[in-house]
Formats: sequence, structure tokens, C-alpha cells
Amino acid sequence: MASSLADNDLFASYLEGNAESFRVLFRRHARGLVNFAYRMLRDESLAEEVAQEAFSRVVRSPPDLDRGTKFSTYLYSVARNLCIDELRKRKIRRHLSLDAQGPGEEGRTLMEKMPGNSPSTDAMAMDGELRERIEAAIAEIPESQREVFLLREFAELSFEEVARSVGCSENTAKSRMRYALERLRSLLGDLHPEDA
Amino acid sequence: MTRDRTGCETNRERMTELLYGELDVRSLQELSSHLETCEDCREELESLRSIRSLMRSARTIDIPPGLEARVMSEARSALSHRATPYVEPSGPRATQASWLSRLLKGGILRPAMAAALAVLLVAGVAYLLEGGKPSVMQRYEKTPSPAPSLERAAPAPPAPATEHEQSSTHDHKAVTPREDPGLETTVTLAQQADVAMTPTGNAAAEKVVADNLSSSQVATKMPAQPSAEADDEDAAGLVGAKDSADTGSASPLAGKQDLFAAIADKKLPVTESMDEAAGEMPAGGMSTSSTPEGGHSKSAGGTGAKTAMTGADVGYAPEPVAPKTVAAPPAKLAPPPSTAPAPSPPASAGASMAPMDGVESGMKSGEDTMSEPEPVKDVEEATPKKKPSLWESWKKKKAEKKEKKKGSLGTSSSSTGSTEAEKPVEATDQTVFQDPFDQAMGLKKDKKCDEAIPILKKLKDDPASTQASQAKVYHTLAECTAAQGEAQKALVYYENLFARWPAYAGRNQAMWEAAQLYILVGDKATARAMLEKLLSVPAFSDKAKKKLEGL
Repeated sequence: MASSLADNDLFASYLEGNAESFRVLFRRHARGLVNFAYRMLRDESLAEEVAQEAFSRVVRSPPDLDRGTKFSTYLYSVARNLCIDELRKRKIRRHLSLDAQGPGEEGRTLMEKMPGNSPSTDAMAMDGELRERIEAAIAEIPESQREVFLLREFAELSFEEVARSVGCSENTAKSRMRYALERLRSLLGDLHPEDA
Repeated sequence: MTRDRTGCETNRERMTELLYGELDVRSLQELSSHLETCEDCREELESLRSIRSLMRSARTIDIPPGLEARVMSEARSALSHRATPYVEPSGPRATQASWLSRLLKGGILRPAMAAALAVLLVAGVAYLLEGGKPSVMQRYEKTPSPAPSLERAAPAPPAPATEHEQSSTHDHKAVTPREDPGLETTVTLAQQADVAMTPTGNAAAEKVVADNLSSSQVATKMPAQPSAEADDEDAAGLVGAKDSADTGSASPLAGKQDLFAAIADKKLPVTESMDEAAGEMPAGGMSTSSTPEGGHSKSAGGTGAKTAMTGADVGYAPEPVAPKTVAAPPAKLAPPPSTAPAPSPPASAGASMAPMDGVESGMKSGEDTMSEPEPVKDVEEATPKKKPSLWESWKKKKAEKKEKKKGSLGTSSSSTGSTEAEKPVEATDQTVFQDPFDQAMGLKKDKKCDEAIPILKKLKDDPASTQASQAKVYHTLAECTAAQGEAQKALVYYENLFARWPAYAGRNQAMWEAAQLYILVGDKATARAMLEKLLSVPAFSDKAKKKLEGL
């Protein structure tokens, strides 16, 4: 029942005191948020922290969603700002290599940590290679374009919502998206969807 | 040939929307018909689709274990701090209407109720004072200056006070207009009310209101009133309550909303301000020329706590309140039309919040409306229906100048008739008129970019005002903004320029400039991409090569 409600209704219900409504919201958005933060920061544990902090901020200072803001837009805006703060703080930008070790990962590289779905070792290796290339290509996109790309492609916000989250016009968001796709094409042009 | 390329460019921009299912039907039809004839674009679309398909194999991270528990624990604790009782919603409708119930349950309306209480008290006391109740008048006769008005009610009469009287005096002080009833009083009274209010909400709150009312009646030692008078009291109370809903109570709500808007603004990145720069009206930037009436300030949607306070001030104080913010700067390009009524100099706080609304609309909301609150429609009437374009303004201005000049030279042709005045204008337009864009260019040349920027921004929003192309306007605006040291903002203009006018003649120059800025802001990858494109342009290849080596 609750899961069929719109985000804003669920959030209103939560503000009325129904904590379980927030659980539905969490389950709807947590994965997208963690993945968005991960691709922005290239660090799993930081991505988790960002997601947690984003949810916390939403409950600590609830947005006024009666003013036309969507819950998801607000949530991703918060997460996006946290990521940018983190990037600024750590001066990571976008050149973090896949071989870089995240904090507390004790020698495991991101490449090594990538799980594969296919049972065979060869398939795993192929999957890993493909994913490595995709991840590396995404990391190559300039930051302003990457955030738009991630919000649209993985978080599945509309261009209008992306524009709101990022703080630019819808046209700018679309053109950034286009640049991002062109960039990816130039980096991954030799791959074919069948490889995936 | 060029047209074809532009057609391709336009349609390639549409492809992004198509890929993500956001293309409108008309554009889709245009794109489809273009794709039928353009093989390059078909290939482009296919390649973009392939990229999207590839993205599906990108790695996704599962929700880390324990995250849900931590977030939910935080959510619960935040909820318990809010201390609002939960009522099971009976369906989607219930949750949709939840904002109202949330308000009523005391979470937000508590300060509003306190404000309503304040107004009730003021209205009650004012009624008593002005109604000439003998017991009250006798008490005031003892004081050196009897205070029948609200203004004078502030200093408490030094008469010996009973316990009830003391509380009454305290209430008087709390709602004195001089002490900003809109917010401070609200806080004070909210604090008082909080002591008495239980989280159970309305009933308790109403009880507090009733208690306070009765205490004020006791405090003023009002004799038992006949029922008709009691009804009048209630009516006065209702009026007060209504007023507070329109004015005082609006402030905490509007304040809260704007506080959030401010927080959200803060949270948004530099690009938020960039976005404004790029042409979007700031959210809630509506002209709040109706702010003197608290109710209007609510409907304006973009008023802050301060504005609402001003509204409350006006609502309670009999004299107009001086505007608290500086008047909007006069638009440099808009000439004062000779036929227009003289604008009143001080603009309201609301007007200063919306500089884009132009001079006239802001001016109308000056002192007049503050001292005599008018319904909204008057304010709408006061706002000109259509602003003259800059082009027209310039024409008019130049015509006036010309007239003046002629007049000072003793030319007899200067006349008062408007039709006659227009004739020479038309004749001299070609020679006298200076395009605002040229003026901006002149200012830029003189390194007065700060003066050029507002002109260019106006031209950006009003393309009809200039003969220069919008691409040029954006380019110059980007250059001026960069010259002012606002690299991020400038880059937004450049991005707009590249995205909207792919065939712009000065594109390479703009790209070169943008590349420098990208280096400046630390986005070397984008800078490199731009410089690489410039390698193939003879005029820029050497420079670009050098720069790339430096990177």
C-alpha cells in the first residue's frame, strides 16, 4: 500500500510520524544514491557515508515539498553537494585510477573487488574488463557533465530534475548530457553492446 | 550546406532527449523526418544507443548492510524530536492532505497560534480602550498620558498592578508594534504558549488561547458584559485572529519556507547563481509589491520572514513603516518616459527583491500601498502590462534628447505635441540611435565590464532590443563576466553559447577563451578537449598546441 504512494506523499506521511514511510523511501532511493555517490567519488565507503548523510539531512531539516520540489530531486541535490564537498576536500577530481586503493581496503583494488555475475572465471574476467573500461570511461567525463550523466542515466531523474539538482538550466543539463555521451562514445566506441 | 549542418546539430540535440524518452511529439516528428534523409544522424543515434546499452553492464553497488538500520534509526530519532503525534493515514488522500493536518497538529502553527493570540489580546485591549469602558478609563486617568492607541499601550501605566495586571502588561509589551510583532512577538508568545501547550495539539492550544483571553479580560477588570457585548468581543477576537492569519501568522510560515529556500540555495552549488546569471529568474523572485498586506505576501510565494514582519508591522501600526531594504537600482537602459507618472522614490522591500521587474512595477508598491493596503488587483493594475522593449526605450530616449538639444539651440520646431515630437525622431533614428549592444561593447572596451554586464543581461532576456545576434550577446557577456573574475559564471555563458549556437562565427575564439577558464577552474580535461578541437583551426592551432604542452 505505502509502496504505491508517491515520494512526496510518503515523505509527508513520515513527517506526520509514520517512520515506516521513510523506510519505503529509503528502499526506493538508497541503491541509486549509493551508486551515484560511488561514481562521483570512486570510493565505496565514502559513497555509503554520503548516502547516509544525505538521508540524515533530509530527516533533520525536512524540505518543504509543498513548493513543487520532488523528494528525489532534493535528496540527490544533497548527495551531489556532499560529493562535491568531498571532492574538493580530497582534491580527487576525476583522475583516480582504478588501481587506487580506497581507505581501509587493505591492498584490494577496485578492480579486484568487482564482483562478477557469471560463474566461469573467463566470463568473470571479461565482465571485469568490460566494467573496468566502463567505469574508467565514466570517470573520464568532466565533473559537471558526469554528475548530469549519472543523475540521468543511473538515478533516472528527468532532465528537469537533474537541472534542479545541479543548479543549471534544463538546456544546459541536456547539452552537458550530450557532451558526456559523446565523450563516452569516443572512449568506448570500439565496444559493442553485445560485449556486455 | 550550412543549413543542413545546422539541421543536423539541432536534431542531434534532440537525440539526447529521444534516448531518454523526453522528446515531445513535434520534435520527434521532425527528428524522424530528418533521420529518413540523413545517414550521418542515423549513425550518430545508433552509436549513442550503443553507449546507453553498454551502460547497463556498468557495475552497480548493493545497498551496504546496516545502512538501512542506521538511516531508519536517524529518521526515528528526528521524528521523536519533532514530537508530533502520528495519525494513521486512511489512504492516499490522507497523505496528500497531510500538510494541513501537520499544521493543525501544532508543529508549525504553534507559533502562528501564538501570534494569533497576540493579535487577539491587542484587539481585545484596543477594543476596551477605545470603547470607553469606565473601569479601564479610570485606571488610565491616573497615568500622565492616557494611551488609547496601541502605540501608547506599549509603556505600561505605572499604576500598582495586581498579578493579573502584571500578566496583562507583559502581554501588551509582547505585542507592541515597535517590537516587531511579526516574528519576535511570535517567538516570545510561542515560548509562553509552549509552556502551557501539550503536544496533544489543538485542544490544548485553544485552551491556552481561551485562558489568555480570559486572563486579559480579568486583568483589565472588565465588568461582566451583556451577551451582545460578549459577542462583539468574540467578533473582535475573530477579526484579530483573521488578521493574524493574514499577517502575523504568515510570518513563521513564510519565514520557514524562505529559510528553507535560503538553505537550499546555499546547498546548491556555484552553478545555482550561475543559473540565475544564465537567464532563469530566481525562484520566488516575484515582485512582492503587495507585501504591505500580509495576505498578499503569502500569495507572493517568495517573501521572507522579514517581509512578512513588515506586513505585520503595517497590519498593526497605524503609520506606514519605512522600507527596510534599499530600493532597487534604477534600470540604466530604461529612459524615463516623459508621459509616465513620476515614480515615487522609495520602493518597497518587495520591489527591491525583484530588480528584474523593472522600475515602474517596483515603484508602484511604495508608501501609498503601505499606508493604505489595497487589494491585490490594484497592485496588478499598478504593474505595467507590457514593458516597452529596450529598443523602444532607446528610441524614445534619443528622441527626447534630440528634442532637448533642439530646444536649447532655440530651434522653433520643438513643440509640445507628441505627434510632432515623434516625427523628427523617426527622421533622426538612423543617425542618433545607438544599439545597447554597441554601448555595452564600448563599455567593455573601456574596461567597464561591471557596467556592461547589466546591459548585456537585459539584452539576453530581451533579444528584440538589439540588432546584435544573441550568440554575440552571450559571448560578450561571457567575456565581461570572465573579466570580472567570475570564471564559473562565465563558463555557463560559454556552455550556453556552444550548445545553442553551434554555427556561431566566433565559436573558435569563444572556445579558446573557455579553455583558458576551464584551466583556471581546474577542469583540465574539458580544457584539453577544447584545445584539441582548436588544433585543427589554423588561427588557433599554434596557441592551442602550446597550451596543451603546458597542460
